[in-house]
Amino acid sequence: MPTPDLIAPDRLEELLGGALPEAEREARLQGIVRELRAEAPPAPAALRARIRALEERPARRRVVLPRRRTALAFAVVLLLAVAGVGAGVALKGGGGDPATDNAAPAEADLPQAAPVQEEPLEAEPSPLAPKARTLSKERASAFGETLDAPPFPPRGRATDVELWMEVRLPDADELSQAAREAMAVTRELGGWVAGSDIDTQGREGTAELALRVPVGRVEDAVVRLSELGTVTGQRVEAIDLQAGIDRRATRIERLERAIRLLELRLRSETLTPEEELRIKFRIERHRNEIADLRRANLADRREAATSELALVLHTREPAAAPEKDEGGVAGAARDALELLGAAGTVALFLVIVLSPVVLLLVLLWLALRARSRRVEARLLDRPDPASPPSA
Amino acid sequence: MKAVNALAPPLPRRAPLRRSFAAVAEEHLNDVHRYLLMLTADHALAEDLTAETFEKAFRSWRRYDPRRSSERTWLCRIGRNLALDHFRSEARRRRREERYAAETGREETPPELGFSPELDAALTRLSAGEREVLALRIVLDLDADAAAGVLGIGRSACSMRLARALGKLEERMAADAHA
Repeated sequence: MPTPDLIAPDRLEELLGGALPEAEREARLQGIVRELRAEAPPAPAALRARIRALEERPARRRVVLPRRRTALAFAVVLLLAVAGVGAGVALKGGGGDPATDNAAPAEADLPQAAPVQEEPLEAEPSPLAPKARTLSKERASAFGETLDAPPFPPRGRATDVELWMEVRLPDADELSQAAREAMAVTRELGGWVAGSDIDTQGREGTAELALRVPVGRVEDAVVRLSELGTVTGQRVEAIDLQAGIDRRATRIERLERAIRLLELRLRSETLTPEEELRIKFRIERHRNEIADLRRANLADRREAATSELALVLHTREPAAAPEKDEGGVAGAARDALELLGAAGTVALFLVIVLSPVVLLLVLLWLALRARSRRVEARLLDRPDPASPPSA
Repeated sequence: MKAVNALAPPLPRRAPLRRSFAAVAEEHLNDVHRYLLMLTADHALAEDLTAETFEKAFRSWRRYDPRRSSERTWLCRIGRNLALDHFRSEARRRRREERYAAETGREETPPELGFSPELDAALTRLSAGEREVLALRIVLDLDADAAAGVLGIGRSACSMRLARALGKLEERMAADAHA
């Protein structure tokens, strides 16, 4: 069907507003408009009665927010909650952050950080010997402070002690001198140097020494080695070997008792040749086991006799010194800025993570709206919208 | 006393009190019914949809925000959504029925919209979308912005749709008169 000549929309608006027609067609259009306005049928009386029957119920006083405002408020609260949780997690998990570490005084933290060694159960020795306690003090005294002496295992107990120590020196000459001194100290204490790797270039350098020191002299070694320069980190790992040694000693005693009983039976001369042979086998087996246990104990005692001490000497610059803890308004302002920074980081993270999701949702919403409009346009494009579209 | 009152600051203007739903329904019933009648071209359906519109409006009357649209526009939008829902479900139902049963060939009587027979005949040959814009802009006399708001389209698209619908209506009436 050809599209009729359209009257310009602006002119049409003027005609609808009551402008005088200037052409026959405009006059006809105005006539149609007048007829449409004048002869529009009123609502039937039955319908009017039906609508009037809708009486307003007694007003219930309840706060009803517009849906969009409610949704917006909910979204803001959710975002704030997520940001708050994120900030909390970020601040809580900031233990590994050097900046956070530096902000706290090292001396205050270290004693709490050191776990207490568990005593092995004497009465009921467990096959799992108590594991090492580990003391991490890296970076703790990166500002020239002397670290507390690490807690050592009690004397008299066989313990495998591994100690790592990092010492900073001002230049390569001092470093070489310190390496030599460390070796001398080790020998003086009855130990030996298991390995060394010294590397210097100009004023910079590093040296890694693997030292073995008698276990009874470890504390002396630590004290003397820490005097070589500024200790910037140290770690002690101690594995208790005494529990295993005790357990094996108990087992050896039992086996020896069993051997003595078996030997008494052999001497009784009441046994058949077969029984005698079987008992001899058992005695031999027990003796072999005792030999194994003694070897294991000897190996543990040897291991416990000396401690392995890894000494790292370096000339790296210390980390920037922490700002003095400011009190009062300045401190509060700094804390607030730090908190805001952390919250901003979390918010930025959320924006980066959530923006693709939001974009997808917006695109989905636009697509659904466009589809709904198309369906709507197709429906209203027919004289009878309820009729199915003709093929 | 007068002097005291003259010195006193004027009371702040309060927002006009919301009218009762009964008054709103009384005022706009004819308009909503006319709009739905022209949209559907079916008396019975228009009455049902009008009643449903007012029931729905009554339920959500507390959520109505007069700052966002006039009462009439709000009611027309509710009516339009209900009509579109009805058209969709009715089209689905008819498709389903046609799939299983042959068309009975019933005689369709041309619907009467309450105008002159010539105007009725020409109107019923327009699409529902064209009748709808005529109803909103001419019968209900909504301005272009309000009508565009009900239809969910832009103002210029609404004006163009009106011009096209009026042109078609005039052309068909002229053709019928010649015939």
